[in-house]
This record gives sequence, structure tokens and C-alpha cells, in this order.
Amino acid sequence: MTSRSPLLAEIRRSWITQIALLGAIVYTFVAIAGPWLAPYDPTAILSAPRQSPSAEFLMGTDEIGRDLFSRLLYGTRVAFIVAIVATSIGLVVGALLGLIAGYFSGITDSIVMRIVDILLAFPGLLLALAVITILGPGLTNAMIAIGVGGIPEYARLMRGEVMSLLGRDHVLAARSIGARDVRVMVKHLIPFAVPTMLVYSTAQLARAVLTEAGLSYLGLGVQPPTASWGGMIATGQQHLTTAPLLAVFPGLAIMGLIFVLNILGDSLRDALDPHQRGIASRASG
Amino acid sequence: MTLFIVRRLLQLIPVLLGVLVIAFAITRLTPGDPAEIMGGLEATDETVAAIREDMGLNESIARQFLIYLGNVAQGDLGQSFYNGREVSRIIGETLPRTAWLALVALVFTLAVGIPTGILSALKKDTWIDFGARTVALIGVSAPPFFAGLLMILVFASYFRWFPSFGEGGWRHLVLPGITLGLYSAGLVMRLTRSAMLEVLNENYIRTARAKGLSARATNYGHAFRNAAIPIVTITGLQLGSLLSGTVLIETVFAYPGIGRLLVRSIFERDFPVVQGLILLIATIYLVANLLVDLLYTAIDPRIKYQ
Repeated sequence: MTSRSPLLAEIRRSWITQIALLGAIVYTFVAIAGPWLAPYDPTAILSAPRQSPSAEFLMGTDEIGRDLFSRLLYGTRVAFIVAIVATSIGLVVGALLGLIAGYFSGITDSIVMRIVDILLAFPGLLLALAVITILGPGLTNAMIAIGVGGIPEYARLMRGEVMSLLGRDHVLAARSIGARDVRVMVKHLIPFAVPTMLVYSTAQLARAVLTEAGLSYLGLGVQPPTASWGGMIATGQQHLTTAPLLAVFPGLAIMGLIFVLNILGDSLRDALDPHQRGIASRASG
Repeated sequence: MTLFIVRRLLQLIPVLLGVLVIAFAITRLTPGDPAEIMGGLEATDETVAAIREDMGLNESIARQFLIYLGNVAQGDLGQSFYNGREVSRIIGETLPRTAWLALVALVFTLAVGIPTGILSALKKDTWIDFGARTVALIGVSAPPFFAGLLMILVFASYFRWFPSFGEGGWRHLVLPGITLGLYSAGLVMRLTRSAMLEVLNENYIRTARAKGLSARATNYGHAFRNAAIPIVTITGLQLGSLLSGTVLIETVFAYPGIGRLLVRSIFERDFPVVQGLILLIATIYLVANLLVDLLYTAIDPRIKYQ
């Protein structure tokens, strides 16, 4: 396993990483403690609609008179849950496929990678939209849809990692003393692939947050009255000229989180994975 | 080279078949009987049975897929559940509008992304570099629909320079086109910068400078030409995300292209249209990726394919 020191060194070196780390801590805290921090029930209609920010309502009220600040805090939690579950689905299924393809090679590899190629043929939101069309809109289905979208990249990454690990001495040694396939995978392959997967997961979390917000904006993700940033922007758009803050606050919340995750992803990659600077990482680096 | 093209085309076939299977699955895995949806609420059992027979729904699933393949090969994507019109005709009417939008986005991506990337690399660690990188990072981080709203707020509501929604003339293309290109422009800028920085450290650049070549000739004739290869790749690969990005952008700007059509059709449960659009976007994406691969060889003579 990679030691912790390069990560700490990277944090110490770059002030932008420090800010991003602080941001991530704040967002995580809000996601966990949101219900206790929120001054009001996020679905309760409290006052006149579309009020400006005041001491009573920190960010004003929304289109039907709910507290915008409370809804924003609850929205953080929804964004986190969807992003984490969706990323985990992609990670587990994708890494498993990649592990099998890389380890057994030959025909198994060909079949798995063709499936991955097919999934990769659907750019961006499209795969999620196809899944939503079949399963229908909603929170759970959005998580599945976004998760499926993450499978192909994880599979490719894991396969590459496994193929390069198979030539290492400790793997050769384990195999030569007759260790079973599963044991080699669990003990000698998976732990060594963790850093790469971790780095990619930060980027994937950002993508999941964006996709969830996009789906909810379209009305195909998290359904009202549950607070979601994307949904809040969609309703805010209807009052854009009279009450622009309705859309601006949730928009800034999303942007901030994506910004933080992108920077952390870059820093993690620099710290853990300096050899993996291919075209894809250069594009985001 | 010819052999390489043929091989890449052959590799495309299983992937395309898989895409067709997924597109086919959309109308078969979704709840509800297509024949009943097609017939409408007042349809009698006989009408529904007739439609079912007509649509080939009584055949085995494998045979239905073969029929679907045959239809697609003839350009027949079925009929809309919603208004009974040919899906291929509906798409034919909407696709050009999205193509214009994607063109504006692509021009914006290249016209803004590449020059700022080069400038950023040449002026590394100055305030120009820092400013350009920050703007690019914001461009990459902004959710497209939120960026769109900000554009509307500033350029349509406040300055009233451009219309905020709908279609009709080039002025309607400006805001959605730029918003659509924002992400890829940020990506291309960051990539151009790092590719340029990498190349500028190479020995042949030092040689070019040492032999007295002007800075201009060195930067553009030697450095940029070599940095261009990854830029072409990323830009080509961005075509796909531009197309799927239209789903959000066209909804924000109420622009009647394929993206908005796709969302509307999902809501209306108009599965033949959804199926046709997903097939179309995936195919365009696959072809674009293939072209990028082929373009590689044209730009970089060092890349040889067996």
C-alpha cells in the first residue's frame, strides 16, 4: 500500500488543496448534520413565497414559501447519498468486471471488454437517461442509472491495473506456490489497485453529483417535495427575473462541491499516482 | 493503413449490435403494452390485437429483434406513440437545429480553449496563467444548466443582447451554443496548456531556439504542432458529450432540438422516439471516435498501425 506521507506532503505543499480539503470537510459536515443545522422543516410552507434573505430566513423563501436555506442543507444530504451510492455501484460492478477480464484474459477478457465498449458508446447523460427510461424516474432509479454509467471506466481502469500487477513478483510468487485464483485476487491484486480506484472515485463522485443534479433538473431524478439542488434550480428558473436567488444559491452549492472534488481529485492523483498521467488525466490536470 | 481502417470498422460491428440490443430493450423492458399505448384509451380489444399483430409483437423476442434490425437498416425507426408520425422524420426535422448548436459550441471550444491554453503555457505562473486556469476550472465545474441560467440572467435579462429561449436565427444560437461549449472549452484549455508545457521542455524545442528560430516559429511551428495530437483526441471525444449535453442545454433554453425532444419523449413515454434518439446519438458518437482514431495518423506520422 502507498504510504500516507505523499498525501500529507501534497496537502502541506499546496494551499489550494488545503482550501479544497476544508471545503470537503464543511460539505460532509453539512451532509451529515444538515437536519440538526436546518432552522426549519424543508418541506413546510412557512411564510410568503419568494421573500428576500432576512434574519428569519437566511436565504429567503422559495416559490411556495419554504425556507430556502433549510432546503439547501437537506439537498446537500441528498446529493451526497446519491453520489456515494451511485459511485459505489459503478466501483463494485466495474472493478469486478475489470478484475475478471484482466485476470483470466483470453475469451473472458474479450467478452467483458466488448460489453464495456457497448456501455462506452453512450456518452455522458445518455446511458443514465436510457436506464431511467426503462426503470422510471425517482431517487433509487437515479442512483442505479448514474451507477451504471460509471461501470465502464472502472472496468477499464481495473483491468489495466490487474494486467500490470500480474507481472509483479509477489503475484508470481503467490501463484507459483499454488494460491487459488480468489486468494490471489483478494490478497495480492485488489489491495494494490486501491489507490488508483480511489483517485478515480473522486472524479467519479463529482460526475455523479453533476449527473444527479442534471437528472433532477430535468425532473427525472429526485422527485418533489424532497429537496434536491437540481430540482431547486428548475423551479427557480421559473422565477428567474423576479427572484434569481432561488436558482443562484443551489447553483453555487453544486458548483462549490464540484470545484472542491475536482481539486481534491487532482491533488490525490499528484500525490498517489504520479505515473498515471495519460491523456485523460492531462485533460483534467 | 487500409487494413487498419477495415479492422476498426469490423470492431465497430459488435459494439453497434450491442447498442441496437439496448435500444431495442427500451421498448421491451419498459412497463406497459406498446400496442395498448399505440391504440390509445378508447381502443377496443380487437384494435389492440390488430396493432399487436401489425407491430409484430406476437413473434418471439429474437424474431422481433431481427425485424427491428431489418427496419433500422432501411431507415425505419417506427412510429411515435404520441402522434403516430415516423420517428425518422421527427428526428430529421430536429437534428439540424442541434447540429447548429453543436457547431457553435465546437467553434467556441476551439476558438477560446486553444489560444488561452497556449497563452497560459507561454506565460506560465503569471497572473494571465492563473486567471485563465481559474476561469477554465470554473467552466469545467459549473453545472451546464446553471451556467445557462447565469447566461440568461446576464445577457438576456439584464443586457437584453440575446433572446433567452426558443429558436429562429443566429441570435438564438449564441447563448445556448456558448453554454454548451463551456465545459469542453475549459477542458481543451487545460489540456492545451499541459500539452504545450510538456512539449516546450523537449530537446527539439531547445534546438529550434538555439539555431535562432523566432519565438513565433518555435511556438507554433514546432511546439503547437506536436501538442496538437492530444488536443485533437479530446476535442473529438468531446463531440459525444456535446451531443448528450444538448439534453440539458436545450431544456434550459427551450431550444427545439434532439436533446429537448429526448427529455419530452421520456416524459410522454414515447418509447420509439427515445429508442431512435439513443440509437442516433450513440452511433454519431461511435463514428466520431472512429474518425478521431483515423485523424491521428494524418496528424502524427510517427503513429503507425499494423
